[in-house]
Order: sequence, then structure tokens, then C-alpha cells
Amino acid sequence: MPPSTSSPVATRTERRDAARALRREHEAAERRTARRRRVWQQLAATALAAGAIVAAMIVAGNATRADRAPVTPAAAAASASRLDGIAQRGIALGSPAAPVTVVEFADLQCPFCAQFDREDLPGIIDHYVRTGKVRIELRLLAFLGDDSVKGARAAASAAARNRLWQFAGGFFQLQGEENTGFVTDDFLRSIDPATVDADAAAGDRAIAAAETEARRYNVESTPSFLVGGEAVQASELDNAIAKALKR
Amino acid sequence: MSTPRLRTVMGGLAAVGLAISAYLTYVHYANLQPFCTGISDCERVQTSDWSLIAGVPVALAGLIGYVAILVALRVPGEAARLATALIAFSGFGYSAYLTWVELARIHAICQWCIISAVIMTGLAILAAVRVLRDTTHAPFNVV
Repeated sequence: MPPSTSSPVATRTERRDAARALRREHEAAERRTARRRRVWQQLAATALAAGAIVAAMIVAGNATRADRAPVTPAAAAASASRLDGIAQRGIALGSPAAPVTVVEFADLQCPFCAQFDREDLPGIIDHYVRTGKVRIELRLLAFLGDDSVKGARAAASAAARNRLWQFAGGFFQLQGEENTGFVTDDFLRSIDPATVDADAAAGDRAIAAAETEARRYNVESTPSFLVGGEAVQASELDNAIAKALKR
Repeated sequence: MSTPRLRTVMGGLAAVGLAISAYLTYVHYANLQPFCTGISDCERVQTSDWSLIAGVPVALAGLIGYVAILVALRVPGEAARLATALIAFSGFGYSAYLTWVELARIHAICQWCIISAVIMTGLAILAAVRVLRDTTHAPFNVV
């Protein structure tokens, strides 16, 4: 066999070049890894900072809500005076001879029902109920939780004594955070002491009757209203009453 | 998706979000009822206790956020990419909180808020991809 023309053993230069190339490749890989790690760390730090910003925004929002003037039982009782001199029987407020009947579906824990009670109802009572034009029925649903059920049972007891509207007004004024167990005996006592020992069975019958009515009119949220048997949004209530009175 | 295209898509999403938040801010200050489909109750959400952050309407905070994203997208560099991600992550987190509030506290949905939440989710994902892409596309000057 003839001898090979090229040497099978790399020259010193070739070995040095190969080692250098290997080292460069190794260093480049290390730089890539370090850079990747740094970017992931930056992204994680950004996510943490965003979490802190979101937490601050939530705290600021909660503080805004907490800043609203706290309502005391005395203030709640004072608001009940708006009903003085208005006929009340069971769940109905206003003259039985009123030409228009409005039905309100509410849940005592619903914040919008409380908002309606505070902001819109006083005007409706003054303009339409006190003047004998409108009679309002309050049908209490209890779909938000146990506090709604307890409240609605107590409300049924108040309705049996023709004091439902005072009770509901006081409840809405003092309404606590949803499903936190705020409807305690003390809470009920501060609104109407006679509701503390409410008959649960009678209360459940009132809730069931309200639910039947709600299903009949496809009521899916609270507060919802019927004016002359027609479903109406809270924002359209005033116009709907005015229109019904013209008929 | 190429990096310039990623930026274009993010710009498009932020522009849609900006239009929505501008509309809701206008509706808030003009004291109008927002246009709403039958399946949602925008007025209830817009007038709820959760519609303000320290007296500032959430819609206005969203508008400022979208403007900030659009500005940050136009600025080159790593700091601007991270700033975009910070705003988008914050927007995503607060949108997620507000969606929970709508479902668990207000018991009503606002279509505009949901669309904005989806946009913020998309922006947060794309902003993260944009930051990470910086690793894979960065030039390495190997000597």
C-alpha cells in the first residue's frame, strides 16, 4: 500500500484553530444563555411591578368606596320618615285606588337595588306615590346568597306588620358587603327589632311567590320593574310611569 | 410573526381599545347611556361603585393606558419594550379584576369592558412575546 500524501495527524496550527473555534462557540453559547436569563428576569420583574400597580389600583378603588359617608342606624331610621303618611299594606306602598301599579323586584343584598332605593325611589314616592297616582309593590328575591334569604325572611315579617318599606329602606341604607354574613340578629334589630324572630316558613313562602312572579315576567336581574304589567328598566321607570298615567 | 408585524398588530389592538375607552369616557362625562346589546347591562356597570378609581373613571384610566401603549410602541429600545409590557400587564391584571367584579359583585356584564379585557389580554401576550423575542433575534458579535 502506498503511503498517504496527507498526514492523519493535525498540524499544530490546525489544532490551535480548532480549539479557538470551540472556545468561541462555547463563549457565544454562554452569552446567549446569560442574555436569555436576563430577559426572563426582566419580564418577571415587569410582571411583579404590574401586579403591584394593579394591587394599588384595587386598593385606591376600595378606598373610594369606603370613603362614602357611613350610614348609621339613626340615619337609616330618619330616611324611613319619607314614608310618613303613606298607606302601606303587606308588600304594597301607596293608595289601593292608585291608577298605576309598579312592581319592583329586588334582592336586599343587591347594591343597585340599594342605589335605586337611595337615589331614585324618594323622587318616585314624592311625585307619584304620595300623590295617590302610583302604588308600588316590593317583591324580594333571594338569589344572591344566605344573607339575602335571611333578609327576605325578616322582610316578610315586616310586611305582615305593614312595615316592609321602612324595613327595606333601612336594610338598603345599612347594606353590607355581599355574602359576608352581615345579616346578623344585631343587624336586623338595628332596623326593626320585631324581625329578629321572623317566621322562616312564612318568609320562604314570600320568596317563592316573588320567584314565581319573576319567572312569569322573565326577570333576570335586580332591580327590575313592571309598570302596568310591562317590564321596564330602572333608567326608564320615570318615563314609563308618566306614560302609564296618560293612558 | 415578524417583529415589525407584531408591533403593527399591537398598535391595531391598542387603537381599538383606545376608541372603546374614549367612547366610554365621553359617555361618562356627557352623562349618557352607553350603547349596549341585550345580553349586557353597560349602564349598570358604568354607574357602579367600581367604575371609579380614586375619583377617576375607569374608562379614562383605560384611555390613558392605551395612549401610553401606543406611545411606547413607537419608541425603539429595550426600555420601551419593557414599558409596553408593564402597561399591558397592568391593564390585563386590572381588566381581569374588573371582569371578576362584574360577574361576582355587580352581576352584570358590559360588552365594551369585555372587549377591552380581551384586547388587554392580547396586548399582554404580544408584549411578552416581543420582550422575549429580543433574546432570540439579538445579534451576537462573536469574534
